[in-house]
Amino acid sequence: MLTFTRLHHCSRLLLLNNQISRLFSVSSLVFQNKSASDFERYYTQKHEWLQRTDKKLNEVRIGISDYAQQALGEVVYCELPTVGTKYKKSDSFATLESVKAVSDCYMPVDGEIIETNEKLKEEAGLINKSPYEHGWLVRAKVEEKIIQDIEKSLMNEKKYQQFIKGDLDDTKAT
Amino acid sequence: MNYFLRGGSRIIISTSTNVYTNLALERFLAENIQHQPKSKLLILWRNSPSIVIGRYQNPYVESNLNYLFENNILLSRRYSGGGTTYHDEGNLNLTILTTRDNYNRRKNLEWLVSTINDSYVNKFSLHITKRDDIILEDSINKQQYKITGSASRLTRTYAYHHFTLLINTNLNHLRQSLKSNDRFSIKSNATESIRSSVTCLSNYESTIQYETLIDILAKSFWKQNQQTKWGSDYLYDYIDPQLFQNQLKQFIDELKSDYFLYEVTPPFTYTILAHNNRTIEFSIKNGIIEDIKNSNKDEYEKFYHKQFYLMYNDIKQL
Repeated sequence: MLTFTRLHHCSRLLLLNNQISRLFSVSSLVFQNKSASDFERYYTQKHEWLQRTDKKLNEVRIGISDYAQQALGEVVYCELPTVGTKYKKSDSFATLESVKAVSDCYMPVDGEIIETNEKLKEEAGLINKSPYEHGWLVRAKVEEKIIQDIEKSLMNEKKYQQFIKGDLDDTKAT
Repeated sequence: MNYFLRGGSRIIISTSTNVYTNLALERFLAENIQHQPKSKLLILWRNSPSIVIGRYQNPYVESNLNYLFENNILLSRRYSGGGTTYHDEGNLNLTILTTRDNYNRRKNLEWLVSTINDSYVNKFSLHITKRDDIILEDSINKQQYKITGSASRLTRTYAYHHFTLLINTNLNHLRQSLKSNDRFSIKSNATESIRSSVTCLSNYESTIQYETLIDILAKSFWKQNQQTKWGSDYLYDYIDPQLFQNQLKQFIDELKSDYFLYEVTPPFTYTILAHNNRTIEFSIKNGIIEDIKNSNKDEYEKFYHKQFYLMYNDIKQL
């Protein structure tokens, strides 16, 4: 369960863009034990991940997990959606080509695409090299209610690791 | 059609030789069959002379479009990935359709290789490379030739792996069709084919025929999948896609459309050396010429914002 504390004194924005840090007085909700940009990742059973990017804006980044990129092999082409498109959970929003296979990626939640990772146009392999950081696929706007209930529909890191371990155990057994 | 949508392992042979119809049939079956875990569907099909490019390829890079038009060879794009293949009645297509979880490309290729090696012992030997290509070892001239092309499509519910098998194809048409004059004029992130020397099985065993090979493959497939529920009353069923035009129409129309053949090509630039030594560069996105560098006013007006595939021959005249 997520917990948060309210800070009433000066808060500090993390140096995301090498800006000079500004001190100002705000009331903000901060996740306990986490720095402002370090939100948890949540996963689907199809190995997509979702991570909040900003507490105030209800925006998430979506990508595929390390487990998924390993299974796919080297990604050679990435087809991303148009900004502005609205998707429902489980809709296909992107398609990847890797080692002669074309596979779909599915939305972890309902959302509206607000940005796609332009770097992937030139370097689709970022998905393999950096699945959680530079290889993100899209940024989407998601309803607050969905984000609040995220643990009900997706797996947190711990559960996901157990899930893939189960997968691996299954393959060893057959 | 409901008969064909029943789940369980089975073999279906298409009587159509039209590439758009067969690709539509493949997708229709994949999306509508009642998939059962562990079941495998084998579809066998052949096309009249056609070029099939992969989903994210550039037709100008992969084939000689003028040669295709002059020789009535159809251009098509498939939904799976991979490189460009040339098809004619001497090239057998095999599709193995399963649930997403049961997808196993290597196993499919191993099945094919062992079936053919067992049936044609001492004639030739096939094996599988790291890139999942099947090659034939010619023990006399110590060469290796590719005899299959392989590609897959994976979705949430189903996965299919299809591959070709060169039995007795017109290699002259194959080579000419795949030889693009534009390979070096185009810069793009589209998937590029990796070119290899090819050969046909009939070059090593002249008695190999489509009909006998179908029989050998069918019996071997049935044997391999005996433990799963067999979905048919027969070893294999013929399907005539002509009888199901309504169900297939949506996919056939898409596969034939200029949109799917040309406009979904990943963005690229096309550079030509015009007759007065100017290098003109066209930038194409979604099939439209979005930018032109180094052209004169007339050329700009003629080509800007037009469909590249319609302007192609005119551009080549510059």
